[in-house]
Amino acid sequence: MMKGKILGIETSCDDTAAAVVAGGKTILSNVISSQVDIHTRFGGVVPEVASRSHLEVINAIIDEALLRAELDFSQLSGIAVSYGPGLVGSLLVGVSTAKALAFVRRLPLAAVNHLEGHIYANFLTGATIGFPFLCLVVSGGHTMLIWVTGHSQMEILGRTRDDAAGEVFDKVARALNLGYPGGPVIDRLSAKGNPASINFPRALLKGEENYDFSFSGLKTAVLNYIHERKAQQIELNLFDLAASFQAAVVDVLVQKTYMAALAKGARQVLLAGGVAANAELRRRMREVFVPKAIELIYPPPELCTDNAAMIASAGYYHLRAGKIAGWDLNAAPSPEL
Amino acid sequence: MLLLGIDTTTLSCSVAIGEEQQLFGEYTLNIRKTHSQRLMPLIDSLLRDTGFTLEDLEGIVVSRGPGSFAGTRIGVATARGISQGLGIPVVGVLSLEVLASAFTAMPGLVCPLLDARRQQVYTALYRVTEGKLIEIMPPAALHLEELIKNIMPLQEKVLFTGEGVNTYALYLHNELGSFFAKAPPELSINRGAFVLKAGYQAFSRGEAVKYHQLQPFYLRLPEAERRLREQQPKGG
Ligand SMILES: [Zn+2]
Repeated sequence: MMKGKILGIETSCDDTAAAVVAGGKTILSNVISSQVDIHTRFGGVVPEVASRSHLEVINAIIDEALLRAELDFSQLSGIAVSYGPGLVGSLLVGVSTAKALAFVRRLPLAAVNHLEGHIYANFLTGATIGFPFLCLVVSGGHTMLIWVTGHSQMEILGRTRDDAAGEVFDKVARALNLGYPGGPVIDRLSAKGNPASINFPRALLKGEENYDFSFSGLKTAVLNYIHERKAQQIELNLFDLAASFQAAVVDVLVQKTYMAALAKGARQVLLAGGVAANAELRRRMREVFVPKAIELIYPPPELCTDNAAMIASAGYYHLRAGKIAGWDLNAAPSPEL
Repeated sequence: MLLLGIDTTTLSCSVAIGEEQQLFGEYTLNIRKTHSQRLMPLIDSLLRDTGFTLEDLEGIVVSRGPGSFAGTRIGVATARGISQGLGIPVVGVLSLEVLASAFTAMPGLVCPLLDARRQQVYTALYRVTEGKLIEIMPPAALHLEELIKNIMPLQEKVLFTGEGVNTYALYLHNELGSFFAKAPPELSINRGAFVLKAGYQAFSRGEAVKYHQLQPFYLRLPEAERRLREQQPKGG
C-alpha cells in the first residue's frame, strides 16, 4: 500500500477524467476529456447532456489512463471515485463505473468528496505539506475556508452565503458574451485593464471571526453597471471592467484568507479549485503571505480545475486509513466535507 | 454460456444469472429505492448465493433502454465496467424486448408500455412466431392515441405489458374492447430472467460489442437539445 497505485475517476461536472497516482503523490497518468465544446452551444452545463457525454467516453478514458501509466488492472491497489458534490446524473456515471470495476477486480473502493479532492491536488505538487494547514477552496460551485488538521479531518471556517466566486466569474462573462467558462477569459482581459478604474463593492461581512463570503452584491453591481452602460449606449472598456471586477473578488478572498491564517497561526496556506488557477489571485496571495513567512502552496493550473489525479491522491489516504466504501455507494449532490 | 443480466431501466432493479437452458438465479426489487445503491449489492449476493465466481461469467447482458435516463445509465455503466474489468463481451437489449420476452410461449401480439412522461409512452409492437419475437412496430415514444391508431387496423387481440400498463389499462380497454388483454403484474415488470432470454438471442445474432461501444438507447434527445433544435430555423 505504501507505493500503492490508485486509479482515480472523476465525473462530477462536465469533465470526464481518469488518472493513476502512486503513493498519493506521484502522477503516473492524468487524462481529461473536456465537454466544453458540447456545452458552449447551450451557454452552460446541461446536466442531461453532461451525463450522456460522460458515459460515452468514460471507459476509453480509463483505458487511456492505464495505458499512459503502463499498467493494467492487476497492478492497482485500489480505485477512488468522487461521489459528490456535483451533478448527480454525472456523478452516477463515475460511481457506477468505479463500483463495477472495483467489484470485479476485487479492489478496495474509496469514496472521495470532490472538494477534498481539490485540496489534495496540492499533494501532487511535490511540496512538503504538514498538518495543520489552511486551505481556500474556490471554484464554480464553492468558496470555502477550511482548517485541515489531518487526513479527512476538516473544520470549515467559512463558506459563501450566496454565489460561489467562480459562479460570479461565469455570470459576468456571460453578460459580456465572453463565453463559458468565464474565469480564464476574465483573467486574461484583466491583465490589460486598470483594476482601480471602477469601484465595485467588497463584501467583507461584519464580525471578528467571520470567514464567510458573499458575492451576490458584487455580482448585482457588475451586472447593473453593464446594463446601464448598454442602455445609455456607452461603450464598455472590457479590460478595465474585467480588471476592476476581478480585483473586487480577489480582494475579498485574500483578506479573508489572511485573517483566518493569522487567527489560526497557520504555517501553510493552500489554494484549491478552479479559481485558484487565477493569476491575479495567486499574485496577490504571494504578496501577502511571502513577507509573513507563511508558505503558500497552490497546484499548477491543470490540477486546479477538475481532474482525477486529485481524487486518486485523496483516495490513497482513505484506503491507507482503512476507509473503504461499500457496494451501496451512491452519488450525492451536496455531501458535507 | 454463463451470462449475467441487468435491468435498471424502470422502477424495478433486477439481476439474473443463467445459461440458455437454465436460469440459476434472479433477484428483483420493485420498490422506490435508488438503483445506484441496490444494483452492486444485488449482483454481489446473486453470485455468492448461486455459488458462481466472477471468473465463471462468460458475458454480460444489459437492458439499455428506453426508460429512465439515469436508471438506464446506471445499468449500462455497470455492465460496461464489469465487461471492462473481466474482459468479457457485453450485449445490449431493449427494455421493451425484455418485457415481451416473457410471452414467447404463445403466438400473438405483445405491446410493452413504459411511462415516458410528457403524456407519452415508450412502446413497440412484437408478434410472437415460433417462440421468437418479430418487431411489427419499432420502439417509439408515442401518445396513446397514436398507438391505438396503429393497433386498431390489425383487428387482433394485443397483450399489453410493462410498468405503464396499469396507468392506461382503463383507457386502452375502453378504446380496444375485446382486443385488449393485460399481462399479469409479476410479468409486467422488467426482470433479469428475460434480459438473459433476450440476451441469448442478441449474442446469437452476433450483437456482442466491446464495452466502450455499448450505448444506451434513449429514444429521446435531452430537453435542452430538443428546445435548441426547435429554435433553429428549419430547412437550413
Ligand atoms: Zn471541482
